[in-house]
Parts: sequence; C-alpha cells; structure tokens
Amino acid sequence: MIAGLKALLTVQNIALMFLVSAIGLSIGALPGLSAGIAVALMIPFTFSMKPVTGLAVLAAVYMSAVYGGCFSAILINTPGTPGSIATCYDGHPMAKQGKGIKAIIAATMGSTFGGLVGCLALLFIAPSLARITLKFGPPEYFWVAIFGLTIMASLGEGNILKTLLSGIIGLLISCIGMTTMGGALRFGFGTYKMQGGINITVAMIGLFCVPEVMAMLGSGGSLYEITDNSAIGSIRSYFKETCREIWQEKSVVLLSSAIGVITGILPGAGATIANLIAYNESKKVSPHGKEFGTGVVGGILAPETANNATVGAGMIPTLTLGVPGTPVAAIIYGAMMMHGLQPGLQLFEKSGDIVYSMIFAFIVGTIIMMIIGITIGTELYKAVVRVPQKYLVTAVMLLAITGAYSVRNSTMDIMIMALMGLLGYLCRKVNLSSGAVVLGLVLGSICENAFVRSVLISKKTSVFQVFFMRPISLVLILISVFSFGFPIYKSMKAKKAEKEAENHE
Amino acid sequence: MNNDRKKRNADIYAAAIVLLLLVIFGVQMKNIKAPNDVYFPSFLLSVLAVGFVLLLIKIWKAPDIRVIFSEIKLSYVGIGILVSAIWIFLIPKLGFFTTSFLAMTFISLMVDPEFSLSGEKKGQIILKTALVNLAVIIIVAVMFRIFLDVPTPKGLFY
Repeated sequence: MIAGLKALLTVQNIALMFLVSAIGLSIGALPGLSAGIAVALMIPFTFSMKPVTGLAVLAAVYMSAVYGGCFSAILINTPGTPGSIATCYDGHPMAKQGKGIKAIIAATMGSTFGGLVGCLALLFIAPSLARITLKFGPPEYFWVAIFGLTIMASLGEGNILKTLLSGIIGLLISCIGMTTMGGALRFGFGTYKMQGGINITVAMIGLFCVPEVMAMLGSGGSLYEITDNSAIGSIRSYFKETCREIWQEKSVVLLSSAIGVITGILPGAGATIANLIAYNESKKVSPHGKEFGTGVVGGILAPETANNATVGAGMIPTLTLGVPGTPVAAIIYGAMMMHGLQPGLQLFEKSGDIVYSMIFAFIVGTIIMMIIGITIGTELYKAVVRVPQKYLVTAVMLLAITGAYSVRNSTMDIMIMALMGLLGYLCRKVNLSSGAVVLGLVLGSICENAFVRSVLISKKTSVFQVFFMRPISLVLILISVFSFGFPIYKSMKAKKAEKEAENHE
Repeated sequence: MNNDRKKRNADIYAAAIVLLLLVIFGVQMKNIKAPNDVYFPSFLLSVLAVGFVLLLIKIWKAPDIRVIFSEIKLSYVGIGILVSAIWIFLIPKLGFFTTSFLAMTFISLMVDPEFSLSGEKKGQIILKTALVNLAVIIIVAVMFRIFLDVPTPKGLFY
C-alpha cells in the first residue's frame, strides 16, 4: 500500500492529474458528454505513460467528469451527466436566487466527501462488498428497479397521480427500440432509425434543457433573478455559511455516501440511480427535507455525494471480480489490460503496488477535483450570470443540439431531443413531472430485463419463489413498500391536519 | 383579473396528453408479435389507461386550476419553437454551423429588447449580435470537432 502511494506522489503525476481534472470537469459539464467520453478521450494519451501515471490520469478524469455534471445542472437546469439529474431540483433554483456560488460549493463538498467514501470502501472493504455483488441476481435487480420507481411517490408529494402517470410515460418511452432479450423492434413508428431507442442523455437534454430555454424565451427578462452583480458574492462570502449548513446536513451526506457505495457496486446501476435514490431518501433525514426542491443545500448534497461515491464503489467489482460495474469501469478495465494488469481475483497479489497506486489516485484526484471545482466553478457561475439573455439562450440551444448529436452521431437524436423537449415543456405546464419521466426512462430497461430474466429462471421453480422468497428481494420489497407508502401517508396526514385546522377556524 | 382569465384546469390538458400517448403507443402495439416483448408494454398501457380514468375523475372532483401559460412573451415561445424546428430540419441540408449561425442570430435579435426599440442603431446591433454568435459557434466547433474529436452534422455548407 505504502509503495503504491509513494509511486503515485511525484510532481509529474500530480501536475498531470491537475490538468486532466480540469479537462474532465469541463467535459462532464457539457450536456451530452459523459464521464465515459472523458475517460475514453484520455486513453490514447496513456499508452506511452508508465502504468501508475496512466491509471492515475484516468482515475482523476473519471472523478472530475462525474462531478462536472453538476455545473450545467446548477447553471442551466440540464444535468451534464445522468448522475446529476437530481442536482437540478435544488441546484438550479438556488442559482436563480443568486446563490449559485453556494450551490457550487455544496456540490463540490458533497462530491468530495462522497468520492472519498467510495474510495475508502474500495481500499478497505472491497472483497466483502464484492461478495454482496455476487448475491444479486435478476430478481434482486428487478426489486432494485421497483425501489427506484417508488421514488416517484416522493417526487410527487401532493400530486401523486400525475407523478405516477409521468413515470409510466417514462417507462413506456424506455420500451422504444430493440428488445435486449428478443431482438425485436418495438414502437419503431415505421422507421429503422428508432432501433437504438431513446438515449437517456438525449432525453435528459430535451426534458430539462429545452423547457428552460423556452422559459428564457418567454420570460422577457433574465433567467437569473439578479439585478445587482455585486449581490453574486464570492467564495469567501459563502464558504463558511455553506460549510455550516453542510454540517447541519451531515445525516444527508452520510446516508447518500452509503447509498452511493451500495448502488455503485451493482453492475448496471451506478450513479444514474444513486443520485435519485439518495435525493429521495435524504428528504426523510434532512432537517430541511420539506424544503427540498426550492433550493436548499441538502437537495444538492444528496445527489452529488451519492454520484461520486459510485466512482470508487463501481471499481470494486471491476478490480476484485473482473466484472466492470459501469461502462466507464469497462473502459478503465481495458486500459488496465493494456498496461499489463489482469483485473480479477489475483490482481492484488500479482500487481498490488500498481493497483494501490490507482486507488490512491482516486483519492488524490478527489482532492484535486475539490480545489479545481471551487475555483473554476465559482468563476464560471459569475461569468454565466453576466451573459446577456439573448446570447445565453442561443448558446444553450447550440450546446443542447451539439450535445444531443454527439451521443450517437445521429440527427435523429436531435429530433428526439426536440420532441422530448416539447413533452418536457408541456409536462411543466400541466404539472406532470419531467423528473418522473426520466426516472421511468432510466429504470424501465433495467426493470423489464430483470423481470424477463427472472421469469425465465422461474420456469424451474415457481414465479412466487423467485420473486418473493429470496432474502435480499424481501428486504428490497419492504424498503420499496416503505418508500412508496411513507410519502402517501404523510400527504394524507397533512391533508387531515389541514381540514381539522379549517374546522377549528 | 388577467390571472383569473388565464387560469385553466390543468388536468384536462394532462388527460389529453395521456390520451394521445395511449393512442400512439396503443396503435403501435399491433406491430409487436413476440409474447415476451408484449407483456411489459401491455402492462404499462393498462396502468396508464387506469390512470387516465382516475385523472378524468380528478378533473371533476379535485381539479388542478392554475395559470398554464404564464409567460410574458408567449409569442416568443411559439416563434422559438418554429425557428428551432426549421433549424433542426435544415441542419442536415445546409450544414450545422451555417444553419446554427442564422437561427441563433434571428433568435438573439428577437429577444433583444434594444433591437425592437432602436431605429438608427439596428445595423450595429445586427452586426454585433451576428459576430458574438459566430464567436460562440467557433468556440463550440473548436471544442467539439478539434479538441474532443466529436463530429457535428454535415450538410451542403460548413
């Protein structure tokens, strides 16, 4: 372990990590470009580097790119990566109130803490967590997806019917394209171009960014409610206050880190689900849970802590079992093999020093990410709020179109983005939930694939036994029932209290 | 008084959207043959249909009355949608950057309050707006095409 740390801490490695962290952050901040693209872009540069340096570069860029998604979420209400969807709910309202610097500081500190927790889990308890991964089969994945879907009840407190309908719409949209089990084209609308289905990133850009652009067009004024530039503030003015509020929300940070680690180790789940589950569950433990969605620090901490915790945790099945947990982990897996490492059960025995260097690179990369994020991020916010509305609108539209195209190099994606944008705009107007649509879209394929696989497994036993008699499934069912029922119970209780108060008057 | 006039039952519009999606996806269902591929979307459509009925009941029992289109400049939204549709349609025909430059300049001038008011300075404003949008396009082009090696749609022009 110590040898690995020594090999990492050279001037060259640290300088390179600073450079690639800035690049990763910039790429992650752009809608349409994910952490996967950032890491994939760095791979060719690492061929000529020593293994320690090459893997350190990839670790740093991965961590920063996941974190970078919060910038566009906060500034233009468009998650830069799927792991920052829930950051929009409180990050953007806070930015519109002129407290964007506070939002960025909260997101940075949350990402730093979550990133460190994920890395420590990778360092100390990787083998134990890997054993848990092996126990998750298709029925467990199905119930994880159902648990994720129960978040809708919490997203739509006071408006549960429409929120559930929005989620069902998202699930239906996820059915578009080729089925992974049968290979047939569903809902192709007469064109082969729909074979690839609706990409989540494209849908996100449409559902979140386009309505915001329309709001900017129709506002007749500024997106940001800032009339006086001196009110924007600085790092100094907000840092202490934000850190104090983060301390008040320590339960949110701890819970979200745990959620990030647990979802991160599950192959196929990852940051996309982690940030949404963390946001939902944090509402219950945060002292300001009722204010989530209006621009509170806890609402930013939860998703950002969780999504960065998945980075280190996602490497656990990759390193210990040789099973990449996320697409980015698969890219890093390939890079490791190019540098002569064989991920799997004997990795730590055969190449322990290099592996520990990489793990420490994630930790050091997290700290570098924090430094760069706070300095660049705050300047970025100050720059964006000063841009005249007429240029901001068109720049965001250009980025949205470019981002949508860059996902699969398809003009069809631009049209899908526009249609999803129209849907998102209409949803906003009639109080349907874009967040629930995205949730359905994200979880739909996981849910259906796990369901079909489980039904196939059940042919040897029984459907009831497969779905309801496995211990981990039972735990997930109980958590799902609680997660769904609790907001409904709270809503009914609040309505009853309101009626009683009215009767007293 | 203006706000009272603009308030509508949002549930009616929501029900219309749900009905439209039910019809669109329902019609497409007949193209799906394999049983395994049918179960999940059928289940979802059934749940959506039940939700639609519940929404109809809600329209009557507990309507969601709200101002739906609260934008100050709703016409700009409509024009923006139209221009964006033309922009997206023309991208593969004329080229990404050419079409984007024209669309962005038009939209910027549309929302610029100074442009609608000024008389003599209109030429200056058009030039300045065009140059700024050109600079933004060049930055995006450099970022995506050269630095990130991510292609942009090609057409007749650049």
